[in-house]
Amino acid sequence: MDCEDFLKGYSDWLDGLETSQDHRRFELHLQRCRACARYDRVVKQGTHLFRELPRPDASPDFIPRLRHRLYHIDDHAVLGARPGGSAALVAVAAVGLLAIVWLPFASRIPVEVELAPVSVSAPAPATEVPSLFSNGPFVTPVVYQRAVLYQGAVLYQKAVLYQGAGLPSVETAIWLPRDERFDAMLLQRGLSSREGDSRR
Amino acid sequence: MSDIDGSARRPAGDGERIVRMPNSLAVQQVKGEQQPRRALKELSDAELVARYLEGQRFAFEELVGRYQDRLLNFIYRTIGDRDRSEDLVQETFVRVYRHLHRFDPTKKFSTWIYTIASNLAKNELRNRSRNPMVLFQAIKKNWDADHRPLQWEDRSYAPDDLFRKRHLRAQVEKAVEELPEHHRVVFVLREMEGKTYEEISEITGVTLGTVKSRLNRARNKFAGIIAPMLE
Repeated sequence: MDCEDFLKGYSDWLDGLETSQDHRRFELHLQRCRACARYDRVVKQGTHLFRELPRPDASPDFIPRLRHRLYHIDDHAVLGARPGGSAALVAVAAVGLLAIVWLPFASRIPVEVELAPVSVSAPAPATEVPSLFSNGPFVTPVVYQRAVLYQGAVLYQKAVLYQGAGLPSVETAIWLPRDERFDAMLLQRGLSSREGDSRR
Repeated sequence: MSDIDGSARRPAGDGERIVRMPNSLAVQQVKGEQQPRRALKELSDAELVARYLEGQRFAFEELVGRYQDRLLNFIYRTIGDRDRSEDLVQETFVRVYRHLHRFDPTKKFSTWIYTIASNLAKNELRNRSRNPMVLFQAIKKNWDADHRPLQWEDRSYAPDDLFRKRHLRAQVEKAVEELPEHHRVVFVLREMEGKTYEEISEITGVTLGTVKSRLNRARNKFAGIIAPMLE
């Protein structure tokens, strides 16, 4: 036996899976070959150390968590076993199937509906200058004049809380000091009126 | 909450008293409940499964007690993340619980449960390889230090020996981590869990020849990494 054969059949020999004749050949090779004897020693010591490694313990809540999960499995099993539940499921599935079958036919039927003409009046000209910002606050010409006068502006933002729930809206007042940024914003939106600007 | 298999109590709302909720186990005809739980410890896994299927609720608890630490160790050594390992052990028991009625009693229960655990571990590694942010070493690095129980100083060890021993352990762990996944699973099942080649073949779903070859390669590589530390 050479070292290559030894290494190839090493696992079988270590686990006692080879024949008794092969076993003797392995033993003989180990006695003669120092390299293979070292290899054998390293594997045995290493695997021994591996088995000695600390084993993790399950955390204290392992059983309660598992119990909780299993409990829900049982719960679902009981609910799923109710005849009403399964009948409802079958009904929903049947409606779904019908819808899928009917859909291609439905799309082929042309539907023409003639609607009565609707007359509308043109909207009154806006009294409010468009928003300075994308979603407010709003700057009216009056606010702008005040801003020029007081070197700043109090801007009001109206926000509706819980729309549709009948709750009051909330108004937020923001003091925006009048400076180059303020003017630049106005300019950007075509709102700047240099007339009456006391700073200039 | 006195047992593991779902006979838990759930508090009801609106001032109702705590009531015992119905579940599949409760509606099952409970046979042999009078048998002391201690006696279950003497039963084999297959007998416990049979008892559970007959309605003896504590049999499942006994199975959990037998396997939770072994599975946790196996999965932990395979994927290297302690918390995730615990989740996967839970998932293993949940699957066992769901499909116990399908278990073939002619087969070994331990092989079956290890197969489930092994598949979950493999899936975890596969998912992790798709998400390279999770690193084996990073997860595992501080576990030993954090979870080691408090120990009194052992005066029989010199500091050098202690250091050397810790260093060796770390190197052994590292050597196992460095094994390719399919080699590592086989190596852990054989060396740590003491499974036979046939069992490993069933658990991993590969032929006996492949098990032998993978184990031999795993040992070879393991020896190659660990050798400089042991000489």
